[in-house]
Amino acid sequence: MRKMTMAVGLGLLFGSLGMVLPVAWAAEEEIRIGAVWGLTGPQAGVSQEGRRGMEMAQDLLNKKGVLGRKIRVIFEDDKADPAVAVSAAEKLITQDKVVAFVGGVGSTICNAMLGAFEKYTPKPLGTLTGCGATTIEQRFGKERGYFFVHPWEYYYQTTMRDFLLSVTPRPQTVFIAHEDRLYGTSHSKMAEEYFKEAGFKVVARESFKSGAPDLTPLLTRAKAMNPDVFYWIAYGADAVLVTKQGKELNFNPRMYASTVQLGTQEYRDAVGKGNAETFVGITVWEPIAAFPASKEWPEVFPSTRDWVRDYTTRFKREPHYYSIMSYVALVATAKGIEAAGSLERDRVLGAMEKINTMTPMGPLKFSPSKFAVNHAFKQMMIFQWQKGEKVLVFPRDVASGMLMHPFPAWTQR
Amino acid sequence: MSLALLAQATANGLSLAGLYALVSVGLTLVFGVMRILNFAHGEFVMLGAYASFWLFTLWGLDPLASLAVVLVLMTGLGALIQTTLVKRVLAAPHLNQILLTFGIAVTFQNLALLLWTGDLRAIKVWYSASSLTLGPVSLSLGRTFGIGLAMILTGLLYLLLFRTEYGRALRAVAQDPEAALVMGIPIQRVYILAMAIGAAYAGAAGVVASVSMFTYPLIGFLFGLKAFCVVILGGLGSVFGATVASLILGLVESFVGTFFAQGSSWAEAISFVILLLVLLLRPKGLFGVE
Amino acid sequence: MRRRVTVATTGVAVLGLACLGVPFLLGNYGLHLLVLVSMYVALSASWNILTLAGQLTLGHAGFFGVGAYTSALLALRLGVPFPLGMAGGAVGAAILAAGVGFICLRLRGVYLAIATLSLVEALKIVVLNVPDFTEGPIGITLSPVFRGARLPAYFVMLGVAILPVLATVWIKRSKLHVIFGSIREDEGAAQMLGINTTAYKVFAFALSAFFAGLAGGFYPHYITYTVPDTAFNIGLSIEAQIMPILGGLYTVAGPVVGAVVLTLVGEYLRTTFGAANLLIYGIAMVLVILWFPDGLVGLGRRWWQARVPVPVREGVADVR
Repeated sequence: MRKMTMAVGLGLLFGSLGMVLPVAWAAEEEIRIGAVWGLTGPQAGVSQEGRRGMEMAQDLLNKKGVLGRKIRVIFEDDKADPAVAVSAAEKLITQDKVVAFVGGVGSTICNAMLGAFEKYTPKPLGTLTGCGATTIEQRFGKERGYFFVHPWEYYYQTTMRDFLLSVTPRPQTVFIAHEDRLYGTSHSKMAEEYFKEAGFKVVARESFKSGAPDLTPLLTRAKAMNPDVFYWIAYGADAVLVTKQGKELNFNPRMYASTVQLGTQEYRDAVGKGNAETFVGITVWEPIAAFPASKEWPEVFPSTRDWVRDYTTRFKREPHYYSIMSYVALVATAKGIEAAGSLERDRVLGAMEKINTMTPMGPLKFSPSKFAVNHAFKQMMIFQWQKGEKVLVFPRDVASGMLMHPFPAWTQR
Repeated sequence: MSLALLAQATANGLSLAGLYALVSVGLTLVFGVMRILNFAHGEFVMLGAYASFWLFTLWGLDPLASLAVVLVLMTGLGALIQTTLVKRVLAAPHLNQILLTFGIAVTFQNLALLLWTGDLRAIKVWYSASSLTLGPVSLSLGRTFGIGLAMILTGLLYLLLFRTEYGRALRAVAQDPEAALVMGIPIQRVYILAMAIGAAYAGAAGVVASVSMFTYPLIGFLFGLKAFCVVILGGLGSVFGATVASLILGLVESFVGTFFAQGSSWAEAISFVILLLVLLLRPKGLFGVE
Repeated sequence: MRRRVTVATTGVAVLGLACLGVPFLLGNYGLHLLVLVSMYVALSASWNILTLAGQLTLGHAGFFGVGAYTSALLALRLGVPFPLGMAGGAVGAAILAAGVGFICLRLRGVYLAIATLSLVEALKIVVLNVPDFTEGPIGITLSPVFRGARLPAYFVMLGVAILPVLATVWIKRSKLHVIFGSIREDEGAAQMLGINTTAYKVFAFALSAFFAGLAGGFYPHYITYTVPDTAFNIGLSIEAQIMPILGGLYTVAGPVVGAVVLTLVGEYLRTTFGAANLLIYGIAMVLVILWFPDGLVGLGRRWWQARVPVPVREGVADVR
């Protein structure tokens, strides 16, 4: 026993020493890409979805290779902790010598990581999926080397405003509920501002703790105010609870609306088919979208239908929007490298700025947004649950069906 | 504030209290008997919820039926953890005990994450999102099931504690372990019994959660922290205190959330303030023994 | 006696040289890890001070967070430079802790632990819900300290880490050692001996929180961004408790050893085992508590006592 404990102790000590010693084996043949995700902790679910997309892209790209080499994605866990994300990013730069950062989730993480890159000139390349907060756009958007593929908050909320304006009979009052951290607060502030400008009456904007076991106080309160639209901005767990407890309380606004978390397979499985009926959500992409295959690179950017089929066959589950965002981000980065003909930062960056192609996620072209230089996927859509399936209802040019409105009372379904 | 709203807020508060009581009764029992604060208690809730989910998904077992299976499974797990791990730190300082159970919690959380992914899971049965309408008040069936279960299980615990030999042994050990040992009570077995009951009750809360809300690997922390507040407020080791504290916190959170603007975001802080105020006046909680 | 001085000074000198010299050999990754190690040393050593006085708390994330927010708000609203902000954060945390210590005077053992844990959550909710003053969940963005250069940042954090260790040495050598020990062993008896336990407990709270607040005060300037979840992160309270126990409670070296080993082992697991790293961490934690109940320093001392003759040993007892 004594000896064994000694051995374990020594093992731990030497293990930690071994890590500090700089181990740099530069395998020339690989192209290394850094991917920092919250593989453990509260972001583990979404991170797994993103990781699947990147793994699929990596395997597909490696069938032919990029510049005659293999792509190797190095996944690092950030535990949803900004300080750990900085550790991961610095390790990927210093030890692994990655060409670019791809993927990621969480604006707090993004802020800390890009904050740590401020000292580098030039800054590392990044095709980033995790940064959606406008504060990030304002702070880091000017940097040409950061390619943002997550829609900014105002794309979501202007779309929701325009959608509500298009609904007949037009709703008058909106109750906005949101989770009390960065995501919900930042989005809901913007939503309140846009809705008021457009002439809607925002009867309340109230926050709650995400993941709380009980939303009945908030829903009871909202029910007493009898709004036309109950609009909530939060995470998947909250969407499940709003649906279940809204039904239990017989809370019948004319419309239940939320954001992208309402569209996931996870959500549908958790609430059951009939219960989400007529709920609407904003999304940047849904598996029911009908984009054709890319003319330039059909082998990596097939039509949405083919891509969804391949993904579903491989992982036995429906793709999440984070799966396709991170898939497209990795392929776009690889195509940039290919077109540049080298790994040199500025040439890859230049080549990525020239990309103009169709993808299963929609047309991909990096262009300026309000504050950022390079941002892709600006168009958002509204979907609605109808008979257990998602139907795109807004804007008209992408719509695959008609909006069902108003929401039938729970007791009449 | 209308009467209907008041009634609804009360009903909401009671059903939240039922959930809190289910989670905390076991925790306080374990502390009362062993003087151990089990940081892995929330993870028992998580495991109970997953057990109920998988029994339903793989074998179509209704949660009302699987409850019995979950209780047995969790009893076994509690006994196992007691005999292999917790037993070995009983004499150690509080800090070591906290760390041991915290290590167990981290292990379970990440085991669940690796085995079952981070996805949300929930059971859909006819009573999982339905309610009973009594005049202006809607009573959630899933959550009413929780209240009922809390009442039945707490009642059974009382019967066990005050009407059986086992209960007498449990209480004797809680009062004075050394005297109990002298009197020939098999103290280690009493410890196993306490931990097994604690785990089983947490597992029952998990079954309710899997029906009326959802589960995911980190859900235990959510319940764990609240359960700590409940048992401290009620007085560590007091089953009655935990029940009363659950009622107080459940009702306060419901009223604050329903009747005040931004109430839902402040409700938890108010719970913590109540806890601190009570501790200020009664350092051992409402019904704790000095 | 000469030997005792030799062993002690040699040890400290080697360690000091390593702390000052090694960073120059490291890249940004290594330096960032050292900053985190130093931050955890500060947290665990300051937590250990409270434990010396018998106060079992889980509130360090709260003291850290108050330090972080005081310093970040001073910089944001008044443009106060970071060294002053850190001082402000430390004082803010100390004042809060003195209040907490006073309010929680009658709480013992786990009651105190849970009360302080709830305090962290309550503080977080308050900071989240007064956005006009704290920016709430949107968070505070600050420009990187030293323009992001890691080496000077490391030396600042090293300084922050050394202070609570020196304070522990001072406590151990002064009459506080006896007073804290008597409060820890039996508070009632200490009172009867005429010790003003209230004053000493409040002092221990304030002193301990001062250092946690200092570390917190530097953190947002270093990470360049802070939100309530990262400043009032209960994980920090837990880490601050795990590290001294792993290293060795009530000792000078224990919290330092624990912080260094755990931070580096955690990073090693994270980079080696991917998504399974926390699982292994959890299992390791269980095994460590079962196998080394009195920590690595205790283990080292037993090994030392078994092998090294008494006169040499004496030296270590003092530097421990």
